[in-house]
Amino acid sequence: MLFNSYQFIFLYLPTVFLGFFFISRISRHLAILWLGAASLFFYGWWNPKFVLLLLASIIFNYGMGYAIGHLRIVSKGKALLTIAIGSNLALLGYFKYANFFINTIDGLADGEIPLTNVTLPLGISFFTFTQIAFLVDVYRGIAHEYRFIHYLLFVSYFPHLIAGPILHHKQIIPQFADPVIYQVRSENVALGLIIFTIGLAKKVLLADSFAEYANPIFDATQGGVQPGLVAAWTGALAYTLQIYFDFSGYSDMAIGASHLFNIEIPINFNSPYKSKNIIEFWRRWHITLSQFLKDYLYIPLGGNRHGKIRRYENLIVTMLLGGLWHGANWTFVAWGGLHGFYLLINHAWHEFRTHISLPSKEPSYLSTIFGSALTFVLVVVAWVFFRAESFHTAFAILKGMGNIGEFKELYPKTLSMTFEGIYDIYKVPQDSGGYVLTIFSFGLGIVWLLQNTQKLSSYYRFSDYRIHFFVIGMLCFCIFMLVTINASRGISEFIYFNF
Amino acid sequence: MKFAKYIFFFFLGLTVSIVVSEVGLQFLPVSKGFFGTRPTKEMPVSRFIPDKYYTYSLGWNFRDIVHGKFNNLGYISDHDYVAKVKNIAVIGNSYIESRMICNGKSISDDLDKMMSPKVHVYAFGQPGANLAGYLLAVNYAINTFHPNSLIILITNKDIEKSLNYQPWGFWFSEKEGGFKIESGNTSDLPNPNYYLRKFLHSSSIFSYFHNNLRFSKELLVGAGKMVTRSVAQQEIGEVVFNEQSQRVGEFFIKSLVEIHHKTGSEIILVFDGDRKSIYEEKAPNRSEVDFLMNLAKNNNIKTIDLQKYFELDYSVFRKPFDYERFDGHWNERGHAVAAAAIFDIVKGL
Repeated sequence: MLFNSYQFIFLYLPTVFLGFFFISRISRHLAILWLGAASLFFYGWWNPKFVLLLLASIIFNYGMGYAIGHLRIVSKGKALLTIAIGSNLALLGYFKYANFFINTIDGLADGEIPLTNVTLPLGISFFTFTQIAFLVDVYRGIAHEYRFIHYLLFVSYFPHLIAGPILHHKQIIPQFADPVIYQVRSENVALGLIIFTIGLAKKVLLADSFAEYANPIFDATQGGVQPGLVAAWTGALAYTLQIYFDFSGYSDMAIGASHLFNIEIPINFNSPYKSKNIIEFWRRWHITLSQFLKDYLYIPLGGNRHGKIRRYENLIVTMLLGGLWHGANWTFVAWGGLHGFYLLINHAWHEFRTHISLPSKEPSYLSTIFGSALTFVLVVVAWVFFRAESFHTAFAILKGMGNIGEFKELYPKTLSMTFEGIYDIYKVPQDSGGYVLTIFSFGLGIVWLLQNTQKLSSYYRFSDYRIHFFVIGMLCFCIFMLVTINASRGISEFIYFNF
Repeated sequence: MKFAKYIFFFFLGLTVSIVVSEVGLQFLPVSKGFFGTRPTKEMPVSRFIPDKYYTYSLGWNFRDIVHGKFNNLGYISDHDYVAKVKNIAVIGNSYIESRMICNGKSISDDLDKMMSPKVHVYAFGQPGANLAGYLLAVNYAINTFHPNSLIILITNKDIEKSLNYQPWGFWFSEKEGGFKIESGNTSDLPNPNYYLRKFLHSSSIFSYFHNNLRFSKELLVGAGKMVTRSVAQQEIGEVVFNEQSQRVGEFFIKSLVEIHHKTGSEIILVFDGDRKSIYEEKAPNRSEVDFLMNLAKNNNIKTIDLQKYFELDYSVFRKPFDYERFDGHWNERGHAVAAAAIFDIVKGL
């Protein structure tokens, strides 16, 4: 069930909402059970057999967590932790990476090992990582003993289950014990719907519009077309905007939907394209993944505790694995490696400045603009690897983007003539360059100049229930309109469903 | 009491948002104005209200905006139709209606420019029409304008559609071994929903949902699925072609032959090409069209197969003829190629 479908918005969500608060009057445990069952139903909507896989994973990890937490001998706890993490990674490896490894071995050894016929269970990367973090924290003595039903809901909670944000047990499970969440709060419903609507608008009006440019250009390049300067930049920029609006839209919808149940889930984006450098970008982009990679990979690898060289090694390894987490393709690894390289340069630059004792004054307006522009361009270049299905496609797009010589040819052309080529070859919508420039300017204006969802929603500070109900009424119509717009051109999945 | 207040404020919010959207959309180029008149005894064909303005736009973001005016008979054309002028009638469905093409650039307008001032071209495009609607339009055009030539465009699924009930159009029903034209929309009196429909069509928000977003029951039901929907795309799919289809095709051709013998007007059938096959460089797949074309040829009716014209143009320019990726209606290039193909045949008039 997709967040942007009529079924989810007008059937599933109201039913679960009403059921939760109705059952809460009878029993809080039953209400949690209802929410857990509803989440499993949500998950099973795609493929019911994977509900069993999810349940098995939850039971296994809860049991392992229990055992690790109750073992007095540290070495045995470590052995159990290793087995548990190994099992989780094996599960992920089988479903997500089996064919990737077979392909790689085939490529290296020129062999013909048959590929496995495995369907990737939705959200497996997310629920696996969520549970690995739990196991590690149990071992570290950070995680407390939780009720099984709370743990089940924490892992399977429908707003985050498929595409994050990656939840940390400390942020979520304690909320289940808070009596406040079991009472309908109209201000939270109104606020939740505001955030949900903003997310839906990002997905429907923006992400899917940019997809109409990104997809044909990347697909045609995959098919052998060599894009020129205009087409390559159009495709790369369109995907840069598409993935941001798609994923941050999904995260907003998850946060908004969860708000209806008075459960707060962490933010995942904080205007990443406004970043002045790559280090800042990773503090603003997919925040929960960055935090996970830092806490459970970079720091255990040694972090910055063993000298500069090891620190850079750890950084690169973390980013390479972070790239691989996204998908079973070397292009994702390249994307991660490229960002690792960017981070390495960025850290080295900071250290160089410190080394030569440059004064650490506030950056000037010009240097801020230069830093932001450079960061943005580097991010755009990296997205080419993320989106491309092969290195051949990625390099063809990059070659087109670097074909600066075409500028001379563009000079005498009108706007329409400039874009004519990409309409004929890629069949992107609309046949006047003005429309393309308008929507790209609009998209870039939003990411660079406007405030983000959490800031916008923070302005809603009313306490009068009449205003809440008035706002809810207004938003219901807006949501209906957005879902209809979405349905009118064919419902599209969220990009991060693939990961 | 508090619950009643909740409900009141909820619906107040809902109403305000609808009113605000209605007002906002009034200032935007919503696809609007396509309100048909009901066929009458005097004019038993589908058409729009004459001399009214319309706006066409596509999708939620109002792409490809076209503003226009229906002519004196309620058809999309850059000129009015008058009798007692040497003329050619071009008959067809939404391809001929061509609401998405700017006035002056459709097949009939292109032809008119090529033929005028000697001959004028009158287009009778009835959206959603099929063989039954074409036959009615042929009769109407002959009785009113006595055209020298009648050009009828045949598109994919025309036979199939002419055997199915059409709520706003015409179809064939079997009667006493032959076929009779039925209408889903005939009465001189306004139907009970007439004023409601008129009111809804004047609403921008209704027009936006209905025309731009193509909101429908099917859309609502299929919305959870991964679908790519468009009206014209549905017409591209597999055709149901059976023994009844053959008989209705034969009936249609026989009727045209009779009209030709009775009036002397030249009849030319133009067959749309399987454009997808051209882009994909495959063999065309159009059993229904081929059947009707062979039947016409066997009965000495002139035919124009646009397949070869589209193929030739595409081999040179590599530019598609479709209005949109998912909409099979012709774009301006498609109209121009079709007009040139017809002009080759009728230029001697």
